[in-house]
Amino acid sequence: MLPVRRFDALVVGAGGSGMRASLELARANLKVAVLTKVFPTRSHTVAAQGGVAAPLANSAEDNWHWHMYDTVKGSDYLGDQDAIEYMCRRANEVVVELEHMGMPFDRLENGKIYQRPFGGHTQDYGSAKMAMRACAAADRTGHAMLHTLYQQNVRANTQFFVEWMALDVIRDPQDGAVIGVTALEMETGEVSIFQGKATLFATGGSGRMFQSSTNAFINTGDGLGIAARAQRTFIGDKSKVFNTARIEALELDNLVESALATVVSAEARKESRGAQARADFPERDDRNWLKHSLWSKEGNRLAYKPVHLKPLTVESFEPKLRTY
Amino acid sequence: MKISVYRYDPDKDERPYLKDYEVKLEPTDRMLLDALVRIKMQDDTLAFRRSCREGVCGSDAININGSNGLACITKVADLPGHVTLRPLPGLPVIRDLIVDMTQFFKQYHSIKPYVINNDPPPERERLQSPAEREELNGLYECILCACCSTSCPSFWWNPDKFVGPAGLLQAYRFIADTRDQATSERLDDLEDPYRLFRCHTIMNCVEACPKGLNPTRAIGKIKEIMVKRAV
Repeated sequence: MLPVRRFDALVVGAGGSGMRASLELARANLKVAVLTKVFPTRSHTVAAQGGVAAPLANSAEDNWHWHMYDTVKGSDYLGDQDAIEYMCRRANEVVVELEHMGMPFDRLENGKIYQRPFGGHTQDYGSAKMAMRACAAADRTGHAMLHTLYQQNVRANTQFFVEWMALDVIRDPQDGAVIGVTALEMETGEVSIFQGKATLFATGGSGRMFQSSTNAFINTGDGLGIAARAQRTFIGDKSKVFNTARIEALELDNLVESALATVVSAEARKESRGAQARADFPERDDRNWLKHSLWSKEGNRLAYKPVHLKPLTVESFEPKLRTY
Repeated sequence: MKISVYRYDPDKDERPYLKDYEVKLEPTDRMLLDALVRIKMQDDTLAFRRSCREGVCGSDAININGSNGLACITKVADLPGHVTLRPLPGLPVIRDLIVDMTQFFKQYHSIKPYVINNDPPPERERLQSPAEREELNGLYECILCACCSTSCPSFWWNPDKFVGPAGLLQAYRFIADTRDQATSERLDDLEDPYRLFRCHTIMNCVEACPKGLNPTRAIGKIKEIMVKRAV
């Protein structure tokens, strides 16, 4: 029998998203556990440089409608517009809140948060005039943000399980609902069950699937891989204590799942859109491909779901040619 | 390149030992971390921490030929032909180059590393002039790698009582922040023969910091403020 630990909520991953979520949960007096395979301030958020977008209009006219337009366009119209509207409407509040938490943003002469122009940030729905929307702390905005969020979690007494690697989700045998995860304590090699009324995955990307990448070594798509786990890879190292070869094998499993999902989905998508650039299908094809790809490991199958083109309160941004 | 690496697996080894590796570097292997990754390809039992590979996450701090530094931003070209790698000194070794950083983080947590401001937050950002913000430079950039604290003899002797250079640098980071209202509480906490005053300005911390930060100067500033409030 594996040891069981019970919480109100589990957060897997201690980057910017995971720690903002855990902070909210801890402040609501819920018993929250954050599982993270590296010490929280080592998460890849730390490497973000340029800035965080919010239309504070501290240096030039700006508003959330323009921010929303740029975000929809930046997704090459594949982004869900309801989610994008929500993000852009809340961006100012969220950045101001980070400032109140102590994030050391650079400042303007008038004492407000410094904002700079950034690729794709425009005024007036894609006009040639650049917006000043990126709120920055020198060239280490992500570092400043991640440390601030960790600090606030320390203050809120969030319970961190540092160097614990989540392995698999556990589902209710009756209704299939996720009721927790199994996780490996790296220092001892022991596996425990973590139960939570809610489980949130904030495990970041899988950039390490590419041979060339500026991503951290840890960006192995663990949350993506957990959804579809393969057989364990054989490894030579049998040690229990901090067996990094075992961790790397687990990461490789996750990375392979992520890579397979990416390759299969990309091959099937007969168009070029956003970062997907195909020599054989150089044009974007909205008639056939304005939809999300959903890959499942079982049978290596693809399914699709429509893009939410309808925002929450405003008119849709209809797809048009994406030029800068 | 010849690299001797401190090896210890408590499951198997009675005591630690140095193991020699001959590493053939490719032209793209520019940093010591690249060499460690090569070693790991020959011998997957070697354990070390690493993540961002660009000197910002702070996970691969080790002792390199007697000096603490980050493997990922230490150029192999700057190293002699024979390099000896050991775990950071002064902390318990879990395995190979991996140390138990509990004591280090305990001291960091002990200085209340967060802005304390009990006023109701305004609608918009709290204002801070560029000059006030400038005071945080050289402080907030710390990556908690522990190169400084584990090079400090005072921290070696009293890791449970002396906050250490990393924690004190952060203590001053919050004292120096105009948004923080807890300066006197922070000074009270540090006014102690051990927590602050075990710093004997040896300045190993300054030499060790891979980010070019200066904990000794920050410690001096704290002492200065303490003296000022006493008179």
